[in-house]
Formats: sequence, structure tokens, C-alpha cells
Amino acid sequence: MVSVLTEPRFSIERRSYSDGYLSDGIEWLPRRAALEITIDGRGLDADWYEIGLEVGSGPAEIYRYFPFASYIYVDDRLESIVEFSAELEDVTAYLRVPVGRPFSLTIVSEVAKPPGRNGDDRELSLRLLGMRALEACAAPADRTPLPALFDYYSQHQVRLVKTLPQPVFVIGSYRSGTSILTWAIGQHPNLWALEETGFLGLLAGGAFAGYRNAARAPRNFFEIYDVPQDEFLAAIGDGIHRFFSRASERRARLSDLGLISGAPGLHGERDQRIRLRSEEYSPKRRWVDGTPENTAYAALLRGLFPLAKFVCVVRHPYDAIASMVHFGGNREQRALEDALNTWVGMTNSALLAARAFGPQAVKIVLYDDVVNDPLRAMREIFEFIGEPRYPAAKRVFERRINSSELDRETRGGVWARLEALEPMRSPLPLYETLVSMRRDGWSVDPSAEVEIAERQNDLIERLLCVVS
Amino acid sequence: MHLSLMKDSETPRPVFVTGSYRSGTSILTWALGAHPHFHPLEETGWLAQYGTGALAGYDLVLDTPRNFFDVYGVSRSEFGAQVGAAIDAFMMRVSANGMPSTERRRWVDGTPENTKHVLLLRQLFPEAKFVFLVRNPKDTVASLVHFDRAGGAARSISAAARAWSSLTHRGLLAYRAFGPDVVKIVLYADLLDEPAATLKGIFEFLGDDSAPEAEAMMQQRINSSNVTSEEREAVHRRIDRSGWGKRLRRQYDEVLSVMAAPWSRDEEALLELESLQPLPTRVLASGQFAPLRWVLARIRERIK
Repeated sequence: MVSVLTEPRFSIERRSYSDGYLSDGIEWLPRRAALEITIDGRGLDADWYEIGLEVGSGPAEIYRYFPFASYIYVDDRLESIVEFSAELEDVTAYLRVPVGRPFSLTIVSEVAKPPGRNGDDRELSLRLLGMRALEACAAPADRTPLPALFDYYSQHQVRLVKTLPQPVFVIGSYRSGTSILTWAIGQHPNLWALEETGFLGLLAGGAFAGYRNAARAPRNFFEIYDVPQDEFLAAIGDGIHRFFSRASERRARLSDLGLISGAPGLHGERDQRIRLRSEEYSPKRRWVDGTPENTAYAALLRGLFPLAKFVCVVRHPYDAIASMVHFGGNREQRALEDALNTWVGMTNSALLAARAFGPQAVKIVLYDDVVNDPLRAMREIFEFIGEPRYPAAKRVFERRINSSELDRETRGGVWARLEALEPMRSPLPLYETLVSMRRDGWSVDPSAEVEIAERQNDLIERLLCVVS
Repeated sequence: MHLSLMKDSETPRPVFVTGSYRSGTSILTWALGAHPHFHPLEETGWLAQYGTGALAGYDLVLDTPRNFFDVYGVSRSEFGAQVGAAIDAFMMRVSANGMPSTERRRWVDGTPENTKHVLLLRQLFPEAKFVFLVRNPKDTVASLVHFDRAGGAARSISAAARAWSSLTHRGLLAYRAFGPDVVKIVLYADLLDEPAATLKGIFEFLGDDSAPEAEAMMQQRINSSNVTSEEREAVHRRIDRSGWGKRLRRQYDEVLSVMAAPWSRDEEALLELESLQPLPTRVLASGQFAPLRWVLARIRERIK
């Protein structure tokens, strides 16, 4: 039976299987299970509630492969994707559900034991263990990438680009958790993590410079073919997206064939979870790039990828600076001054991008929040980028990557030196600005749009100067 | 085992008509583009900037350990070809207004500035062919001096002579470095005097048959400066007085003698072309763009 651990009460109407299936004391779900559930909202002052749906895998012989994913829909919204790596594994999917009206809960798993095998006429996929009410929550935001694309096409009259990539850029200063966050996002069934690219800024600058150079002529290529800059840049972005898809696909194939070692790069060993397909015939469609230098090129990248989302990770400056100073060991110590200037410069660029693009395109994430509650942090990030939840992404945080271990004494020493800075040079106000923006929200600042455009001009003009 | 990122059938095979301004690059571009297998393009004017940015990006990260291209096993030439393939797809869509043709699979770009970027363009389009048009320098200068009549900007004698000299030097370097399979030198005079035979030779070089549409297009005179013979003579006299006359003549003779001699690879020409190609360090060298300094500092640190 479905156990109700806390109020409010659930009532479930089963549609996909009969009560006879409960005879062994385990409530099994078939490969595709549709439940109708009502949460009794009496006494509750909320329209939406977050619940924890507990499900578990069965014995190994049920499944053709591990890991496999199960997709959980609330009404018709894909709300969460859970993954099972082993037999008899229990996981909790966190779902936002409406209160006081029936809703459908549909669970679709990749694999199941077909009925009639091993003397059991049931189709067995997952064990349904229970549900817990957690807390009142906000209604989920609409996730409508297709209408957004359609709007874009209609507004910009795009003829030449058939699809617009929707990449994710993790930006922020060095030593702020950009790598680990990138890998965590790249666990999602619809996103794959790229190695740090590092070349996109110059490439994008070249595209801008090319357009500007050609557009100077009175009767120029773009005018004659009626190609506005937006469309040209989006076409370049589309080409880069295809390149990333092909290069990643090749790498995955070579890795599958055992022809390259290590491959995917998270821990050095082969890791089947870093893959390019969420199912056998369902490729991941989006990529995430965590190159910190992209922070400086955000406006150029947004030109190439107008639907890109930027996750701006901000770490307390004292910790980030302490980590920069000691990253790579004593032989390669970065002077404190350099580290401070770098943190301030990069964080200022991130702040500028946030102000210029607004919260629709930029999400500020605090490193401390990610470390303290990765599950919640990842949930918020997936919500922001318009993807269903994927709690398994937090597995990345169970292992630290690319970490500069700091002993308490060293960290204390750096903190003390930074505390001693005169107030004008302290990085704390900048950090606090971002913290308050994250807390209180913000809106697009036209002056920031102008400033970020001026900054990108510098690179474009330099390219023009060198090439001509 | 190496899996290619691109099928052979996808490899772009564009044609670049290069040479000085006012050397017939436009008319030849449209003549070649009249062929049913080719699309003529308006002068692009952006390939070098974009290609330079893209390859400078490659070079920038190349020295960092465990860089993107290392990890994905993407060589510089493969990356350049991928950038070129994306450009090719864009050109095909642009020239066909979003509906690429299955017949016209190659495009022709007659931007004279491309003459300076043959090395770069070959890095983007390894299968590209270059038709290097050379016109008598004095006539070219006369046409450039009166370019305002064809909608361009009129040049002074020295500016016009310098333009011819510089572009011709670059075009010849490309021929010396890459040879007649990649660069075909065509004299403007031959194109005018014997259009059918000259076009036939060009199409042979491009690996295709000639087409009557191309010859018909050559009969049209487009984009002409309409310089009279008296005006031309006057400019010639001014060229001689300016001191450019002998120099231009010597350079033109050099073109003729290179054309007449059998080709052998000229490594020095290749080195010179390489030295003229913008490098990321030159792109990034100066200026106030702070983020680039972080990039360079980080790379330096990693190299240590």
C-alpha cells in the first residue's frame, strides 16, 4: 500500500494495474504507470505542495541494463527524471503537485520485465515505496522552449537557422566551483558537459568582426542577402553546436570501443554516466560549458547563442582567492594581489552580464549553497534552464574534483591578509551585491547593456585591426 | 583508429576568384557562377575576420595541458575544416535563400581581399580552388583611379599602384607555396581575348566541364569604370612619372615568368605567408581588454 507518512493525506486511484498486484506485499509499477492522485487540501494554505515520491528498483534480473532512467510527469509536465544504478536501490523524486484537485502522476521507465516471464504475469519495473509531503511551494514556472523558439523566429524573421541551440554557460571567477557545477549539470539526461572550451570568445569576436567589416561597404554581402547580424551570428552558433555534437559523439564512440582511455574526464576513469544519449535513441540536445574565461565574453557568446542560459557561480572571495593562491601547489603560487585582482575582474564581468541580460538569462548561484545543499541547488538550476529535475546529478558532489586542498592555517592566513585590506580594495561589497541580487531579484539594467557592448567592442576592433 | 568528423561528400569545395581590385574578379565570379554547378556570391568581406578569430581561438588554448582539442582529438586542420563546413552550409542557405540546391553545390566568392588570406582560407576549406586573376598593372591603376564611376572610391596613383602590387605579391606567393593544383593564374587579357578557351581551362582546373551559360555571362560588361583610351594614357604617363612604372612592370613580368616556368614548391613563400597570418598573440597583444590578460596569465601559469 502507499504509505502516507505525514499530512496532508493522499488518495490514489490506480488505473494501470489491479489490486491483485499487491499480493506479495510490494506495490509494483509497470513500465508505464499512470496514477491519479488527489491531495486533500483542507486546512492547508497552499495551492501547490512539494512531495517526495519514493521509488525503488527491483532485483537485477528485471532489467536489461543499468543505469536506467524513469521519467516522472505531473499532469503533462515532465517534472523529474530519476536514475537507478543498481538493484534494490531506493530514490526520492521531489515533485511539485497541486493541492485540492486531482492530478495525474505518470511514471515511465526505460526498462521493465515483460509480463509472462519467470512465471509472473505482471510487468515489473519499479517498486512504489511511498510519498511524503514536504512543504508548500510555488507553482512551477511554464517550461515552454518551443513557443520561445517560435517567438524568436517570428521576431527576428530567421530564415537560415532551423534550430537554435540552447547551451548553458557556467561562468564565474576561477576556483569558484565552475568545474564541479558544469559536470553536475552535464549529468542531466538532456545535457552533456564539454571540456572547458576556451576558444569561443575569440571565435565569437571573429564573427562579430567579420560582420562589422563586411557591413562597412555600401553595397555589402549582408545587405544584399538581407541577413541581419542576429541571424548571421545565430548561424555561426549553429555551426559550433554541430561541431560540438560531432566531436562529442566521436569521443563517446571511441571511448565505447575502448580506443581512448579515461574519456569523459570527471574522475579519469571511464564513466558510463557521462554519455551523449539519455536513451538508446534519444540524444542529449544541450551542452554545458564551464570555461571561466567565458565570463568575459558573455555578450559575444550570447550573440552566437541567443537562447543560452548563464549560471553564474559566486564563491566567497576570501575562499576563492585563498584557493587561487594555492592552486597547483607552492611552486606556482599566484600572488595574493593577482588573485584578488583576478577575482574582482572576473566577478565584475559576471555582475555586468547579470545586470545586462537579466534574471531570465542569468542565474546567480552561491557556491556555499551548492556545497551545503546540492540537491536543492541543482533543482533550482534545472528549473532555471528549463529542464526537469534530476536528483541523481548530486552524485557529482560526492567526489570533489579539481580541488585545491587548503589547510585551516593557510586559509586563515589568507583571510587575515584580506581582512587587513583597506575598505576601498575589499572584494566583500562586490560579493554582497551579488548575494543581495540573488536574494531580492533584479531586472535588466540598460546602462549595463551599453557597458557590456562597449567592452566587447575592444576585442572586435582589435581583430579588425589585425586582420586588415 | 580515427573517425572523421565529416563525410567526404560534405567537404566544401568553394572557388575563390582572387587578384587585385579592378582585375575582372567580379565578371569572372559571375561567369563561373552562371555554371549550373556553382553559386556566385556577392563579395563576402567577412571570411578572414571570422576565420582568424576561430583559429586564433584554437591556437590560444593549444598550449594548455588537457585542452579541449586534446581531449576531443581535434587537430587544427580538422577544426579549421569544421569551421569551413559551417560557413559552407551558411553560404548554401544564403545564396539559395534558405532552400539549398542539390545541383549547385559549390560557391564562388570574388572578394579581392581574399587574395591576402589564401593560407587562412585553405585552413578553412582544404579543397578550395583559387583563380588568381592578374591584369596589366597600368590598366588596373587607371581603372582604380576612376573607380568612382563604378560606384567605388577613386584612388590616388600611389594608392592604386600599392594595392595592385601588394595583392599581386600575395597572390603570387600563394601560387608559389601551393602550386597549380590549388592556384590557377589567369591573365585578364586572356579572359577578354579568348573567353571560351580561358573559361574552359578554368573549369578544367575546377574539375568540371565548361558551360555555355558561363561564356554568355562573359559577354556582359559589368561594374566597369568606363575609362576612355585618352584617360588611360594620361594615367599611364602619371604612373611613369611617379616612379611606380618600372616596379609594376617588373612585378608583372615576374608573374609571366612564374606562369611559364614549371612549378616547384617554394618553402620560403609558405613561410612568408605564415608570417603574414595574424596570430592570437597579435590579436591579444595590446589594449585594455582585461579579461584577455587573465586568459594569457592563466596560460602562462599552466605552461610553467
